[in-house]
Amino acid sequence: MFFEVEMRRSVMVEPHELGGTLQMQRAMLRRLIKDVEKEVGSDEYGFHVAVTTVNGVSGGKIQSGTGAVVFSVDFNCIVFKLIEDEVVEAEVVSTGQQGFFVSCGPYASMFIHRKEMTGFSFQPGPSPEFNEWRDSGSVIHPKSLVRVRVKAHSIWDPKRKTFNVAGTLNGDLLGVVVDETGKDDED
Amino acid sequence: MNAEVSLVLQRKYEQLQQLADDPSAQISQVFEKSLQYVRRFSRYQNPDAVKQVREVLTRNQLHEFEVCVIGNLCPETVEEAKALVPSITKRGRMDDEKIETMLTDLATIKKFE
Repeated sequence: MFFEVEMRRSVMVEPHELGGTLQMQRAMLRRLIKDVEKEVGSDEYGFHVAVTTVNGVSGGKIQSGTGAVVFSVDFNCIVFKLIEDEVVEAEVVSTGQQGFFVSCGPYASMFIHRKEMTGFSFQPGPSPEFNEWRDSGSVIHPKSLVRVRVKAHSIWDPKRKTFNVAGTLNGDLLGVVVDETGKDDED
Repeated sequence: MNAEVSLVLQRKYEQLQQLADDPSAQISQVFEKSLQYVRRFSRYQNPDAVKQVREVLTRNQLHEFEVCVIGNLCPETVEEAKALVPSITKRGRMDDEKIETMLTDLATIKKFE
């Protein structure tokens, strides 16, 4: 789910950006947003989505050599992190023999293992986009919407810049979501 | 809640377009994916409705986690709410009647959105 957290970062303003207050503020904000985005995410907060407000700026140390100025900025940031036991709605991206993957916001792939979907059986298609998982009432294929419970969540992977997450369909009221009008239950 | 974040990210998106020097500057992947996600999975669009939803959920003394899951998934029945967020029944916090009233309030807000 989404959270709004307080963070602090050091932001550098280049000499050519120093000027009027407004210009410097914009340069600092741009730089801050760029730095936060470049991190992509962190173990503590999850994915960094957007900087919302700047709470305070302090410091203003001049770097010898370059003449750039480093400020310490306190700000609020919206982040997204999946929590264990949370139930979320997600879109199926791929289906295979071992299970299927869903994407949920910035989480590009959460895996649901075939053991976590009792009652479903795999139907391979002519090509991977047509692979399906079926049970008596519903079908899971790429682009289906499902409601899953988050089962396990790894720590931040700095190389791939993401988390590894596993989910389950086993549970009351979880399963394929049908349109906006109703819901298919998978018990 | 997704609905609240949707309103914030929409505004941010417009701000970012204005702030960028370079009009073709890319919005980050994380932002874009998040914006798409909340646009798709928000149950409420109207800002006043969203505020009312938060009011209803917080006045029932739910924890933030519970507020978000219920606000995002909009359970229609008491059983659904209890299955999605089992903690609301722990230690006698909310009985079936209270849950029912809360869900009815949410449904009413949705109806008149």
